[in-house]
Amino acid sequence: MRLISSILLLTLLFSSCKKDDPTTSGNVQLSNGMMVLCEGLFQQNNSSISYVNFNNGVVINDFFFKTSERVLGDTGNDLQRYGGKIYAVVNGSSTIEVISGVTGISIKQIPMVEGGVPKQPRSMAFYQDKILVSCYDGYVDVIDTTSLEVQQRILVGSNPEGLAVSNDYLYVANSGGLNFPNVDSTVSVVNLTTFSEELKVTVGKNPSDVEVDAAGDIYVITRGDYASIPSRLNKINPNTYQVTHFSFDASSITRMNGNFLIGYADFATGDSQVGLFDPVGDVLTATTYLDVSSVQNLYGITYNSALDKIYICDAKDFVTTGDVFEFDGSGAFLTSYHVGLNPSKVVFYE
Amino acid sequence: MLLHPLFMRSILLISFFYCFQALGQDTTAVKSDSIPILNLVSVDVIMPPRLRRVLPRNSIIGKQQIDEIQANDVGEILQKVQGVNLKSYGGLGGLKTISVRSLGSQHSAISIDGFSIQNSQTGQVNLAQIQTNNLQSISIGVGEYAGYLIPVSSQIAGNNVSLQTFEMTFPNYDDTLQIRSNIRYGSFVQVSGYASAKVKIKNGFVSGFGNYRTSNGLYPFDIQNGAQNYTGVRSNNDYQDQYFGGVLGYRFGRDAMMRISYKQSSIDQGLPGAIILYNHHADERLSTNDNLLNADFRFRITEGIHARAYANGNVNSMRYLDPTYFNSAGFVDVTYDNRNANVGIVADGHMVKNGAHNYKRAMYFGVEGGVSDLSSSDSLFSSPIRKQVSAILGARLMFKWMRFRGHLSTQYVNESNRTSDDGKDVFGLNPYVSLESKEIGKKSIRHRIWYRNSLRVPSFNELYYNNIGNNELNPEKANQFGYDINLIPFQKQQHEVYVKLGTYFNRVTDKIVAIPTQNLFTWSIQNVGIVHAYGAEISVGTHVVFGKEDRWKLNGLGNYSFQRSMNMTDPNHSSYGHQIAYIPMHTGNFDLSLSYKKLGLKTTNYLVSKRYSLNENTASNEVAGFLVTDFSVFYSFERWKKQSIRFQFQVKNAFNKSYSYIRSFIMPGRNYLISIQYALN
Repeated sequence: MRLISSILLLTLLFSSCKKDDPTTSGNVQLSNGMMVLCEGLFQQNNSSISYVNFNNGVVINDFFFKTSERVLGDTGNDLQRYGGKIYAVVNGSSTIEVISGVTGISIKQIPMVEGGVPKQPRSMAFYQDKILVSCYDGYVDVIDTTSLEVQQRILVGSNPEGLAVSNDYLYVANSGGLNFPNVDSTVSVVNLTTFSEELKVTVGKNPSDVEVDAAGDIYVITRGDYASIPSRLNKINPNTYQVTHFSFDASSITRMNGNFLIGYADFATGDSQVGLFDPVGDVLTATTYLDVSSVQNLYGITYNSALDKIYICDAKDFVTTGDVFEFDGSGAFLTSYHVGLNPSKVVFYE
Repeated sequence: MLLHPLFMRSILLISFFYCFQALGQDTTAVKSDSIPILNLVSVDVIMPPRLRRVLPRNSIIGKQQIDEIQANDVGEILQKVQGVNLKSYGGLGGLKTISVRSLGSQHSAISIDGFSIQNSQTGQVNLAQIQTNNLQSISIGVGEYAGYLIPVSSQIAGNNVSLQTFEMTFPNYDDTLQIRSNIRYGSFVQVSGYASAKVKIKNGFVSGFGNYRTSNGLYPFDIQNGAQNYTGVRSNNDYQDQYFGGVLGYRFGRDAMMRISYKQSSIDQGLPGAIILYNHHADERLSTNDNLLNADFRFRITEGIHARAYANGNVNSMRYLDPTYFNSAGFVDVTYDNRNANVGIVADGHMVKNGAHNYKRAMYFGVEGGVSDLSSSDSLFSSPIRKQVSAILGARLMFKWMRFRGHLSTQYVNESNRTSDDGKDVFGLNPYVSLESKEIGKKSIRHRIWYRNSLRVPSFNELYYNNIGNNELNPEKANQFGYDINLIPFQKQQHEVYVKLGTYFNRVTDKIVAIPTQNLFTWSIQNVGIVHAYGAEISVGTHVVFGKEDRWKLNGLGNYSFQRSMNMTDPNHSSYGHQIAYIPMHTGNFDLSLSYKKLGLKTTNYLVSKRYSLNENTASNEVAGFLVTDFSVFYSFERWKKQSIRFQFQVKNAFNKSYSYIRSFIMPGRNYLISIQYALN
């Protein structure tokens, strides 16, 4: 009788654990939701991924830790989905984390080290079967999506940040941030047929983010000197390499269908705004497309084309856990999700 | 959108450049004969020993305890004092600072032999660079002075630590030659040697001293990373330092004496940084050179008034090297030269009538002036100069059942900057009052309530460091309210139990913190914080002698501190009311030593409860608590005439606990230390 009771008890415990534990990867259906990269803080080893289930609004923080049973690393910087995999750039740890798009479990951790020195990866773009990773040592690494090995390195400018692909060419923002105040002003143009830099285009001080519109034009944010030279949007004509400078404030750019969402955070006043830019007419059609007055620290903007929703990452004061605000495509606020420390990048599951 | 690497380097640099109870005698009101000026060198002792023992208000750690602990530095000893919280970044020479009752390290003034240790660049002292080989005593005063005739800057600080060294202490009358030496060998190829000799001359002494210390710092670490056991060896953690110097002391009759000393020290160390998961690279280096000159003159103004004039100056040069920095040069190589000079006079006097000393009415005063500057090869750093004047006027009054002590201090700081905008000038007026009952009954119970108001001025780094500094900063203000009870519940011949209880409430305003305000990439230092801290402490010590001819001796000490330190800055903030980062709610230590004749055993145990790495008290910010236990065995004997030799073998972190004071800075596991001390006279 005692044996039967024990077996029943164990069975009950086992089944109840499986049923009630929503944090195990086996129970999380990676659909109709989003992964949020929370950068964490430098030297704290607390970069994390939160998973938000849109069906019930449940947020699973430390999702990566729960699925892969280890910490993502120190200071995540980019998170993107390509093919069947999720790729996370972890800057402090100098790794690329390759995560299964189905289970959320780590497939491989690619060390980004050259000659014993961490390359400090920053951002990613994708081209055919290649992952293109900007590294702060002045290179773009080419990683094969099948072997998940670094195949070659492309020398670009100093301290490259954002990058984007347009018509078999890669455009890389060379920030030169580590030479502050003598920062870089160029964008490297890399031929993806030969995987070599063909030229540098001067756009303005401290280039950071790069985006491409439907016509193949390249838009670059230049952050200036954080003082007298403002943060602005610039456009490169990919045929003539002629640069157009726009006169409105801009510190981030996000593609939304045929338009761009232009984010700007004025840290002197604490105000943020998100405008709408039409790349066809090259005009800012709305200076305040979203009401982000409740956002304390505008830290990331992502558009979900399948749901036609906009997601704003709020890093608060950088030392407290942040929120992701959800708006519909017309700019109306819907809800918010409380996530990890310093949320910045989002990938979606339909 | 990652924080800008420029900021990250700035944080690195800022962090690098910066962090028992003994029985004594009451100092207040005993009639005695005229006191020779020579006696005034002892910490907190100006009277001949009393028949009835009274616990000192400050905490004193004596030579015997210092020797038994065999600490690598002063920080390791200070953490044993109730209310003191150590922050250590690990390894020999790694940054160590203390916060006392939740006041930041810059509220603690540290003086050695009556001279303030100053670093206007960081505003704090790295305790890991103060070794214990030559220390005679360590005293820490919270709401009290840690010493007598200490500098004005120490008297007006939030709390003060006073160290006394062998080299600067006048020798006994019959000791013509004194020698102290120490050799240590320990894990991680830690080797150190110290020697000091003091020769008595006609009316004074000359001493010379030197020390060398090195370690490769390659200690293994072990982190539980989820299901992974993440192991490695701390790299780029080598450390080497040496210092040498000399002291000349001279007495002018019974009533005056002077000391002058010079010390040169240099340090070369790797900077291991935090343990970054999956990234073992570390190659930054820091070298430091310091030249220090001290002089003081103690004299009697009248029969009841003693004074001390002092002057000190130091030149501190640091060179920071990052050989693999991703700028156009491919490296960072910057130097910082910080110079400080101070002069001051302090006096303490009481009434003397017809040759009888009346200690019931005493006054003290002091005035101090100083100048400091900083220059750097880093073009982004300013070139500031600071001039400051501070003064104090206080009184000690004794009534039938009560003692009063109080002072009013003032300080004025003038900031100027040769390359950009000046910091704000500072003017402060800060009172201190203490009311203490006299000993009640045979158990010598004393109650004391006190209030101290103090401020700490922003450091050069906080005011001017590249894009982070903010020259509009105001000083951080602290208000401390304390209630203490000291008692000796049992005392019989050589057996004794003593108890110290303390409760407090502290309020810090204009707390200086780093927050992102000016722009996204370069944070700024701002006065935005308000902290409320309350807590309670208990310290129980015992001393028992037993056995045939009193051959057995047992000393025990237990401390427990409770600290509730809350962020009260913004009621709408998610961390409002949360425990301040890195302040543990519970700390404690338990030390026990047992000796039979020349052989002794000692165990020390240090307990820290969980803390949070950020002000938001979430599970992901938790830093696990720890209990670390050390064991040591020592044997000491005397040979020939007044020569003593002491052997000690110590196992530190005996249970090989993986722990850290600061997140990602794992401390060494089990390690060993052998030391041999030799002393003549």
